[in-house]
Amino acid sequence: MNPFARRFPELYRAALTECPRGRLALGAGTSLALGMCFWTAAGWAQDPARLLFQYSFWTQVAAFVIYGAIRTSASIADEREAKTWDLQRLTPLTSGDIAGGKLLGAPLYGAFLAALMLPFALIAGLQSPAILVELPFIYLQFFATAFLALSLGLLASAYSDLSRGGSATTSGAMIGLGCLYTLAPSMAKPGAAAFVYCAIDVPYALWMPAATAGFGAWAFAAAKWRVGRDLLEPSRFWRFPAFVLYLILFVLGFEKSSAYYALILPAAATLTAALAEPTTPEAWRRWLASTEPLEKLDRTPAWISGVAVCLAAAVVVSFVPATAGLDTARRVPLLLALFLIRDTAFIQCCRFTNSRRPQILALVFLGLAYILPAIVLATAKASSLMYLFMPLPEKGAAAAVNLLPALAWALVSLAALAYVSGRSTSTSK
Amino acid sequence: MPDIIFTKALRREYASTPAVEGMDLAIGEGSVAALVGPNGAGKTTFLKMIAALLEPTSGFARVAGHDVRESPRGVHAAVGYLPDFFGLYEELTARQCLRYFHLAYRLPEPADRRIEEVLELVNLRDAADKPIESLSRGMRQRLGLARTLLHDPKLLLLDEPASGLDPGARRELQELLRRLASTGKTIVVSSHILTELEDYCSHVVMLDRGRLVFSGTVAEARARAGGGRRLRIRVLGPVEAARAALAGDPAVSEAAPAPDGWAFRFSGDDESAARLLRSLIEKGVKISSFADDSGSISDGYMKMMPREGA
Repeated sequence: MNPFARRFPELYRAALTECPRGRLALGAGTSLALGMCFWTAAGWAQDPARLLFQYSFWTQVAAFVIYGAIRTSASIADEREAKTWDLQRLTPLTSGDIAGGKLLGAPLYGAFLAALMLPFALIAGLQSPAILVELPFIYLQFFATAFLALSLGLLASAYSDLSRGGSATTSGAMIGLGCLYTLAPSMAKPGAAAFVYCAIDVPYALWMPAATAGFGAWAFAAAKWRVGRDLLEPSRFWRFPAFVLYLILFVLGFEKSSAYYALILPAAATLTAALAEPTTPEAWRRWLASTEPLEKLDRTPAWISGVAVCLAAAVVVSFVPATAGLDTARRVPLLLALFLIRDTAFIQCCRFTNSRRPQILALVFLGLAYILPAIVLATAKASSLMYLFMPLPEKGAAAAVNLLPALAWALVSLAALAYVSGRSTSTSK
Repeated sequence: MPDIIFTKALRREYASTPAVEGMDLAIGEGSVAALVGPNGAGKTTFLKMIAALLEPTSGFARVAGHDVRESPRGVHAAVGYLPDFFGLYEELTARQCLRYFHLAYRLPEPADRRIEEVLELVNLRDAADKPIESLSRGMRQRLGLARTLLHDPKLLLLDEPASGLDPGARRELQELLRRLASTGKTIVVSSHILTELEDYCSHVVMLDRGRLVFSGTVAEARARAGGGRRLRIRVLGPVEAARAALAGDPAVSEAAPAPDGWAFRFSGDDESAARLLRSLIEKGVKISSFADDSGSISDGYMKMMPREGA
């Protein structure tokens, strides 16, 4: 037995289900025919090597990145729907074994098709020195993008209960196509000049695949964490804050990035975490009831730890270095953090209601909380009051006046959460 | 007999509604326990908590020496759990499916011998190379059971294994469970078909609305049903002669007419019952049948379960 399959049993199953002999023969025949067609068609072009390379490369992308993302998007959802997931949960496989097995096993057929097209791309490379020079970067970026797409597909699947009605296929295809946006521009400029990142000159050909693979690794880690939760593996409090911190540092690393807007991406991630994973009333009660400090820390809802990191970062960015006044730009991180507290606490409040879809309920109300004041104030030509309802710096207002409404919103939301949480705890006793 | 399952104040709730609560239960190693109760009694929730697939809301549960909360993976290694509704990898053959789980359970190679053993045990050798999608429901159930047996667990948790099976398949499953029980495995089996459990179960656990109603041996359950041991005789000829013969035995009371004979409460042991039979024959009563008439598990169940609205 192949040592890979021993390590990831999912590979053994995928080899049998994804790649039966008939399908392999059909795929091989089709790929060969397609490759020959490309070769013939490219022969009529002005630059045959370039055209042959592009045809075969983008076929590889379609097979591995898009089809692969579709397969990983369905991988866990399919198991939940077919009721085989519990059987996997009972084996000694860890979350890493399962997630790794799905990541490698689900796109197996796509990888096979992509491998069949590789000779055509290499032939094109051998015909053109210009292509040959670009090949290492292009394939480095190809694999990084594939890793990102497959990991995102796996992440979507880990959070999905059903694959019925083509939802997994649709989300997989969208993820695959979305990832092409990271691949396509970088293909156009493999030889682009180095740029400054974290005060270091980084070659573009190195930075781009590294950044893409970095986000792929985070997506894989998140999928693994979600699988681990199903396996009742202990959660660790630092995981989500580490991601939020990574996002902050990632944004700050760009030479021209403004420190004051470094919180937008982490705040969006925290809000997404709150929406994707609002703590159930039961888990909330268990978190409050835990007496062991480390256990309490590990049970802390992800959105709370995300908010804590954002708030800490906001304080650092706004007050360091300390100056006499808090100019409008430096208020932005604090405003964002306070509105983030308001919104995430409200989402958690909704989780305590009897709504069947508390996240949608929260999303609708939050949407209204931003859109309604914007419409009303714009109509009343009172845009200067917009800061009362949105995380916007107001030039004409003093820092305290600008921050006070955001603080009030945050406090009201937290008080509401404390109230519903207390009521829920007392009802369950 | 050490306890393989021990729970204390075990509770699980869904959206503040308790599915299982205040469950204090001990099941000894080697016992075959029938888990019975109406729909919604909490049987599946209880089994899932014991299988460490569902975290208890509160309380404590130890299974095969592992705390379900602290060491769920330890529990998984010791337990073979067959859910009430489970899927199988339809595109694989039964043998490939078992090979996959052999790898997943990290069992030592070579796998073939162990796979043959379990296929033999569940009587599925002939269908081993057929695609799972072509197997009958009974065969699928046996394949599911083969999967639970693959890593040779100490404890088997079977949730409604006979549900949806035809009488023939049910009989085969019953035979299989009897064979497994004889190998010394602890088995907890939930079912609605109580009469089928009587033959091979040593213990009964009754649940109702998430609470434990009764836990004890089958004999204790029967005794509760009948309010003590009851015997029943059938005689040839006049039944009054038998009545007079019975009246002489101090262990006999509450004799009541039954078709072609009498049913009565009997306070003696098996030795006294044998003596009673001998004395009846010596007194010239023509006995055609002498049998235990104590209540069944079903009777115990009906007697102990709170009535709707009570």
